[in-house]
Amino acid sequence: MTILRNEIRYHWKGTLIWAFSLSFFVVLAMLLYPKVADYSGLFNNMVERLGIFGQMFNLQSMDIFEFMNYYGLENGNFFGLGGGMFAAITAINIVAREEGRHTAEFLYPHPVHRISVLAQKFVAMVLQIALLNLICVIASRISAGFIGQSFPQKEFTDFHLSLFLMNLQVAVLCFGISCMKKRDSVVPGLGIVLAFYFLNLFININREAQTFKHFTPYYYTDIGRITANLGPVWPSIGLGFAVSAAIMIIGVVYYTRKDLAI
Amino acid sequence: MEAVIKTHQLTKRYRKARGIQEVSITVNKGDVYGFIGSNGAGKSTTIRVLLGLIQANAGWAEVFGYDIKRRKREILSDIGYIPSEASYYPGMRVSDALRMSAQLRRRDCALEARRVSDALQLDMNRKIEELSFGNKKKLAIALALQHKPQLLILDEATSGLDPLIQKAFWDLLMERHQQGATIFLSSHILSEIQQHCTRAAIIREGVIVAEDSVEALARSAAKRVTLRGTSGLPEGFPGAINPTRMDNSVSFLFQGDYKQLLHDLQQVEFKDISITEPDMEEIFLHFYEKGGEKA
Repeated sequence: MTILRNEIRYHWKGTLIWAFSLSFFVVLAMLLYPKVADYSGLFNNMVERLGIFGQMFNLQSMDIFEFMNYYGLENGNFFGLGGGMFAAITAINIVAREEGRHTAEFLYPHPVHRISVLAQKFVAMVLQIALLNLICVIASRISAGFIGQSFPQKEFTDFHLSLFLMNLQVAVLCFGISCMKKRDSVVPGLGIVLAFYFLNLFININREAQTFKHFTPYYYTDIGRITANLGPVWPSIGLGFAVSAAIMIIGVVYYTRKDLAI
Repeated sequence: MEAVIKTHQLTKRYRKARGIQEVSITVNKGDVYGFIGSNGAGKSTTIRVLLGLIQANAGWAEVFGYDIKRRKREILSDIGYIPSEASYYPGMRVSDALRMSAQLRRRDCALEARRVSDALQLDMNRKIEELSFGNKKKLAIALALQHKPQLLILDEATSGLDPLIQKAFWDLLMERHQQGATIFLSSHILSEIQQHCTRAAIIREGVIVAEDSVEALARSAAKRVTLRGTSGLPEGFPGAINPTRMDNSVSFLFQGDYKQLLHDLQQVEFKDISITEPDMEEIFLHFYEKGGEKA
């Protein structure tokens, strides 16, 4: 548990900064809801005129002034993208950092098995992501109460479960890649998240691109799809996790056998 | 003699850099073993293979009689390692690093950590980022010694330490040696090897060119022959290696038949002659100049 403690000890501040920054934007969007709802007529006209941009964010398929839809749309953008980036940044370096910063030469002459190191780092990563999600959920609950609104329990749970799973899927994928890297750089992680995010926007405006819907975890965090599906989009979640887990297993096997770059 | 480290034709090839080739060495229990070679000769590669950080392409190695691939945890639990350049986790204090290392070994090393830190004048409350290179090296020494390992593997351990701390370091090492620890010391500071080591191996371009007791290495190497009151050696004097003239004397290394040397010297005018054991530097240069030919 020493490595797990070490990871948490040195990254909890960063996790809190990310969590409170993302929560700030979520709360801000919530506090704007009463004003937005007041001008729903005006906004409806705007949404209709948005055309392809409205399609991108799936705006035409739902009433965006219904509280849960508004929350899901705003939170999906702020927390979806921000949370995905946090997951990617956290995971993409968590293993590679040992070699990139030469601490592998401190760690591995100790009687520790590489699998044990990876397992503890994986748990630390999941805990950080869970903490980020938990803080954002609490911030959402408090701010909803502040403006006199309440969430439909099932939709709220399904939506946040989907967001958490999306963060986790990105993290699992990036963890596997981190096992195969020798340098600590966040660029590949950020690239993956942005590619996933924009692929989802592309799928939304192009019906022929539906084939790629399982390639991006942002597909299953779309509040419109969760509502229409009456729950999380499990086929997408399952397929996404299967691919990410396969890459992670390849990374872990590779890491246990590779020569450490020191 | 019980072998603490034994390697047999250990080979590590890199794509671009040279690694090690068929390295076979034996370090016995209680040895202070010097591992000598120039930069890039393969000293660190050998150590990293022994520690399981990298894997050999061929050959095998045993530490404490265990195969390094199969019993890595048991082996590492009784090894203290000092890298040539130590890196630590950010934000840590000296005491954090010592505690973390002890926890990874599942041992309580607090008393010994304090004792070693005091001996090396290492402030346990300081942040590691604020430490100089020498102080980071002291921390590496404390980390290697605090769990009282049976085998110490030191890679250029004294570089960056001032002479006083070097003395304190060697006192600690010799104390451990007297308590039964085996010491494997990689260095290119030859006086250090000559002063402290009982046995040594010389590695050149990834190949072991000599392995023996330091005394035997000195014997197997060339002798230093110095002639005084002479105008010099004739061109191409048989067996003379690197003849050097100073005032009215000439000095050269010689390895071969000493009767023949004395016979050949009859052609040379000189007033005095001395034949001495070479120092470690000369032994090292001798084996390096032999071009890797096994001694």
